Amino acid sequence: MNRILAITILLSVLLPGAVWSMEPQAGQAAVQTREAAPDNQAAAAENGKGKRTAYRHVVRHDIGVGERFLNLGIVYIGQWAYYLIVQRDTIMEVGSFKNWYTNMYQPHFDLDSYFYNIVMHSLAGMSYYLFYRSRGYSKLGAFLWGFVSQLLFEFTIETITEKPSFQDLFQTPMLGTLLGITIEYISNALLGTNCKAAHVLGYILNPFALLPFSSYEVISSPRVTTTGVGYSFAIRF
Amino acid sequence: MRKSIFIILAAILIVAPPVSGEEAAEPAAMNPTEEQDNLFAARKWHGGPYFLAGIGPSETVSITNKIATWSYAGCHLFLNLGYWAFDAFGIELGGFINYSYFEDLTVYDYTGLLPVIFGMNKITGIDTHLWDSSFYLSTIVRLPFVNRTDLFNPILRILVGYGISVYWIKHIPASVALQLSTAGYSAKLYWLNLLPDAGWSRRDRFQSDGPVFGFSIGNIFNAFNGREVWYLQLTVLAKMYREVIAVKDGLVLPTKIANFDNIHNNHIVQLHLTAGIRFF
Repeated sequence: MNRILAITILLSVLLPGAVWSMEPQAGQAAVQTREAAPDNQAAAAENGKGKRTAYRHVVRHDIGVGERFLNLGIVYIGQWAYYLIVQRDTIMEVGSFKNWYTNMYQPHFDLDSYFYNIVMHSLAGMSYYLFYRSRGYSKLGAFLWGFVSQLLFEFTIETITEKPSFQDLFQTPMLGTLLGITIEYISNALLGTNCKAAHVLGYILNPFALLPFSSYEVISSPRVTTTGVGYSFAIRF
Repeated sequence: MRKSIFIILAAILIVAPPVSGEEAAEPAAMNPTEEQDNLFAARKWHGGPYFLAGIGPSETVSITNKIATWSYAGCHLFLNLGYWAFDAFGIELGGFINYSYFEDLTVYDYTGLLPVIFGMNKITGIDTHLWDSSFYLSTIVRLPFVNRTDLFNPILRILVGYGISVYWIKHIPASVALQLSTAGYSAKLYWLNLLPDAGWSRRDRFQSDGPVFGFSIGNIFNAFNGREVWYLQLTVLAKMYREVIAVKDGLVLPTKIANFDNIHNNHIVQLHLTAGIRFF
């Protein structure tokens, strides 16, 4: 019993996102069953090594409308905070309340450098994507809500200093999703290994996996062996 | 303002219903392999929304009234979001983000006044970077009258959109700079005849924009079996520029310092060879 408790505590430290996300959620059991890996964590726990065998994203099917708008609001607040901090000098220089409401209906093709249009907006889009994924959205859902977040940023935040940009509206969610899928894949692969350094790198790549109630987790799975058929799972307190 | 609010609300209303119930966005009947959401690439072609991305080499030809110049090298990123319906066609929103390098670009008639004879009134040796984006709406169909297999599933895409091209002059030989100085060049600006005067920095650039037309032909692999879907395609794009804008780089906000008509009728034709996968 102490051994199991110790392993649980160890995994709790290493996998804070997983601990939270293993809280019972309606409809999740079926998802976990369907997405099961051939090997599993519980089986690994039996040999006392705490070995991870699969670290994956789980799509939640029970996200309500209220929770979706809460997530949108969290991103929106984050966008305001980022904008006010990072572009403080520009806001002080050219920003105005008049800009804020007149620029809204003047979208255009911007003149920005490719560093901003490609690199910075890709990173922003990736952040949106990974955040929504960590909340349990499907790939399509994360993309679409990332697009809405970008829409809100372009039309209600950045207008203080500049007009909404068509390039940004397109490239941020598209490039962000592409980058996000790739980073998520790499991060999950790293977090599915048995190496602590890889875990650290995995969380650096996708820090949203550390958020409470994250939809990333070590999964349980059915077991089929030569001696019988069963289902392995972990209960945490 | 009301228009902007309307756009945002419309987007939220469009997005909210399908993702409120995941089944509506990705119906199980259309997704025979539901576990694919956890995979890097989607398996088997299915109806509904899809996201394609790919990379590959590209070739850019700059065509003016005077000369056609081929790029030295280029590469591109392809992004495409679509909806496949009735197992017959798809409606797509996508883009190409391309980089090309022009070595020894030749610019004729840089004064716009003198005749181009005996190699006069011509500048050579200008190395130039080109970054451009093409955004498009397209429709994609499977080619009819063919026996489709996992290895032979040809498609055709017709696209129309809008493109932005940005040029950076990498290097201008000293002799050219002297030539310009001697000619008293200051403000007579054409396509790449826009050449630096005092205060021009390496980050300043020229931007052209205009409509884009094109088509793609390609082949989608593993569309009918359970393996990862990937594709090869060849795309031809024609960009019809309308104007040239001289852009002075700023810390965050660049400024337009001049814009000019595309009097040399400069256009671009691009060839993109793309290899990519279906991400979802």
